[in-house]
Amino acid sequence: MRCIVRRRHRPAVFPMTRRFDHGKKPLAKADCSPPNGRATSHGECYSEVAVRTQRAADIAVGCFIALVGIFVLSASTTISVARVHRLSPRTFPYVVGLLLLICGIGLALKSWSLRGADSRIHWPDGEGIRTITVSLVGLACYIALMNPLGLPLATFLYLAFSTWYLNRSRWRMALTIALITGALSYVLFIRLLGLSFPAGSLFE
Amino acid sequence: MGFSFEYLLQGFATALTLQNLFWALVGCFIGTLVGVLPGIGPVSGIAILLPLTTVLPPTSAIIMMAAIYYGAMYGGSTTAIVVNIPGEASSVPTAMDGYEMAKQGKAGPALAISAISSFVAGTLSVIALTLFAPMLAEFAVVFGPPEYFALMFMGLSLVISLSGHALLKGLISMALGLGAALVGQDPLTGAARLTFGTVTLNAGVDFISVIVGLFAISEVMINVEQRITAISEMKITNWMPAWADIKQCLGTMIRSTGVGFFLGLLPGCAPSVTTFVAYDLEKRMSKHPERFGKGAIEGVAAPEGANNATSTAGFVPLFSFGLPTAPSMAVLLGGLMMYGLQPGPMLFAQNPQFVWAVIASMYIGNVMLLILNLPLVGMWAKIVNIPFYILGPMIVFCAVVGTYSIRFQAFDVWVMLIFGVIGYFMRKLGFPVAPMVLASVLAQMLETALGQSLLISQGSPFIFFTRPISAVFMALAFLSIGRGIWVLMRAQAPEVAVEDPD
Amino acid sequence: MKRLAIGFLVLVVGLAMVGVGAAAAAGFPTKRITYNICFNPGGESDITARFQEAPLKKILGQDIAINYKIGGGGALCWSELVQTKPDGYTIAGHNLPHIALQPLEMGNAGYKTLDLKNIYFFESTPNLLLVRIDSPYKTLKDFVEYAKKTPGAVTVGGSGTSSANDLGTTMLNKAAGIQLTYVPFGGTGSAVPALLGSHVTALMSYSTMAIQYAGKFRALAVASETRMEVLPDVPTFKELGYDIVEGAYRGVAAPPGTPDDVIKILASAFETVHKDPEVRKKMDQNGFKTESMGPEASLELVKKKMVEYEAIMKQLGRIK
Repeated sequence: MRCIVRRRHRPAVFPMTRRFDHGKKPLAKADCSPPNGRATSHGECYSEVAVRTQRAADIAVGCFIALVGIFVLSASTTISVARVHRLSPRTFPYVVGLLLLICGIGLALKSWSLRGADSRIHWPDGEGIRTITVSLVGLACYIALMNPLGLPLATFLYLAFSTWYLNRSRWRMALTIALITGALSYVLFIRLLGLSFPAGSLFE
Repeated sequence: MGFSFEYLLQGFATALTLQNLFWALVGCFIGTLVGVLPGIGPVSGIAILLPLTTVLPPTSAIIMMAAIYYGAMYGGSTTAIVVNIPGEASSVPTAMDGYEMAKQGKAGPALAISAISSFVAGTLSVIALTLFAPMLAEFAVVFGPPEYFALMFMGLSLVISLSGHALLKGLISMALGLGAALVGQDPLTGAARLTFGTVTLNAGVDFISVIVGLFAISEVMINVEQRITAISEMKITNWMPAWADIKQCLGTMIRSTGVGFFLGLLPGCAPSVTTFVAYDLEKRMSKHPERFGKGAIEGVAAPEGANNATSTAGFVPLFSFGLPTAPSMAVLLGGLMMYGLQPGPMLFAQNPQFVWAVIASMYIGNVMLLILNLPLVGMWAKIVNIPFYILGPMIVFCAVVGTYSIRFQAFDVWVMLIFGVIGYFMRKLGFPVAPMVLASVLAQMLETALGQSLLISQGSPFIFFTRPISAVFMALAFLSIGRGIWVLMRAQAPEVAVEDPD
Repeated sequence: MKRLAIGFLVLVVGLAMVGVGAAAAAGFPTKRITYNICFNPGGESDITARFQEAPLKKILGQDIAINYKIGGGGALCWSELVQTKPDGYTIAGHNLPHIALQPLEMGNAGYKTLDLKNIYFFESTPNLLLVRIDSPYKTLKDFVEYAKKTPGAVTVGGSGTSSANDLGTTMLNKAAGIQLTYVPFGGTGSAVPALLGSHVTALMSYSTMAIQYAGKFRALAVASETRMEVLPDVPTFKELGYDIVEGAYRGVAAPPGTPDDVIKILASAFETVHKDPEVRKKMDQNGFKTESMGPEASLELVKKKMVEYEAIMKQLGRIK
């Protein structure tokens, strides 16, 4: 019994064979080692227009960390000290805040003063950013829906969506896996092992 | 309490009965399964199977519980190597090099060496346990709060060598790890810190969610972004490491056993600390330290050996003083007490046959796990070939389930997500991840020990330098720091974490 | 073939989902109960829980999973408890005076004393001052004299901050006019190695440890009204002229909002466990005094102690 399926004509996000470069120019073979390019397990090069250089990023991050340090320091001043202790509960937070502040400034300064050899950071391209964002949002929904919908159902939805999203042409595979795992998670974790995973407050 | 060869042989006789062997096998198998999920560690595994153990005679029950404990250790390292999900904090160094090896198609040898190294360490440790237990017990109590602090401080100074040239970034990473661990209540006084008045943050951030986020989730994000087809495309041809590799690791295995065993004797010294120390020791002793972090086979052998040695060493205080040094030991102790055995220093003296049967079965458990796991290495290794569009979401599923099972609160899973994003940016920007993990694991013990030491010394920080053992550790720590600063001064290159995987 | 497989899977999943609804209907308890211990393994709370584990399982018909949540002298564990779902499946061991002292002293301990819904108090142990068997102090008098000569230098370890051990040390300081330095540990289980290794001079611990480590520790005095039967040679603080009667009550508590009928089931289970002569004998042998206070009696005791401790703390100068 053969199933005849209409294949969609959209290209899959995860082609089963070669990777897409989306029209970006690959660097010459000689230049494939990091930090200029990244050799894939196929052996081809993957590079892209860099959004930021390492130096700029370091300066930005250094400043950001310094700000975090200041934030930690200020948040620590409100820690209540009930009795006189040798080691105040404020000490470690102060140390951490100071460390962040000093190292953050140090990093920013050091990178700023550095001229010369620089390297690129491989930020993902448009498609990459979209893929990551969608995946993260999917994960966030999974976590948010776990309590109301219960572990098995939320797992089913998440796996079905993610597996399909990562390879559009294999939606039946996605559904199957999602079903099996969803059922398995119920049988194994909730029934057999008796762990307190949510079974779905909507159903209770 | 004394060592008697007779007792040990009797112990073997008891342990080798068909029934006990069977239960040990069941324990190993279940333990491995349970260890595969982060958050569900040996403690939960044993607790889950406790009902079964009550229908068994005491010896079989304890044998099975010990087998579950070891099995869980194995399970944790399997997922660390194959999918970069450290089963617990002690598997983190294994993940660092093991996963790199998996990406290079060498998952088989990585898994195999971890099994072999664990076996060697376990065997040597059991021998040490049987021969030297009374002396070792004395050693265990020599460590007081100042020594603990010095040890933890030395552990933190490992950050210097783990960061390579990216020292400032390593320190920032370490500070962030310390900061994350600070959120919640102070371990000594209970004062609320960095909780911004919220009740949820009062309970603090569990380090397992941090670790799973930093490793597993960020790795998945990177793979998704780069649209890889599979973790490794290479066909797994051989699943055993080359004989040359094993010989290379022989020294590693012995050293890591030593480190893991001695540190494991100390009450409260978590296996996570010992694995990092063993890893770092190997890195320093290696002729090519830059290989570590990129798939050095010693980088897998060292933490695995230390791990197993530490868990075996935990039995010394248990049997000598009745002091469980870790929650998993306490579960075993509970098992002992269920059978009417009195906890305390008299356990060994009053029930030698029982204790030696357990020790014998520990050895057998080691052999059993080796036999069980080596053939399965091929199967586990093939996981890296699974197309990523299937494997990726499954990894996330395991991570979510595992993290949720820590406290059964969605908060922990959100923390995992947040640290996944943080980990992603850290990798992109060249920040090393290991110091953050190490710091978050050490923070609580570090602060507690410091507080206690200052009370003992009435506020004088010199206590760490006047006591011999802690002075040694502090000296090592400062040497490490000094060397790191010197390297930093000399280096001109921009701060890229050269050793960081990716 | 493929359709059959898919159909089968749908059926399985459907059944699974249906099973979800069915499971929620049965009575308490239907699954494992988590029993949180707030101190290190090896301490009194831990030992007691281990004694209780098997009989509880027989009575309630479900597993008891023992978990550790250590820190803040118990504050970490109790502040987590008050945030847990009040369905009766998570309980925690609790201690008086800790639960009364911590919110008083800490300002924000993460929980309020009366938030913890008492189920049962099952045992109590008086404070006991221990030194090593090879130490030069043979009696409390020797110890106090030495402490008078070296204010602040004599360290006394104990379990937790704002706990019975902590309070006991402060009381001794005031009564004897000395200045002992109290060093908090995560529990008796980590304080004992400190004394074994001579890192602290003495321990203000509980009667249990005097019995367990009889060959290694010497008990100088016990903080009970009269001498304990299991420790006939140990004088009470009262005998020696210091009016100190202090110790810890131990029990279990549930999150606020746990239904009363669930509490009743748990309380009667614990009561049955501790009425069992075998369990009583084991507890007595180990230096525990069995108490039997159900939910109402426990609440009375807690309220009474809250008032008492507030007065004591003010008198000792630990709170304003």
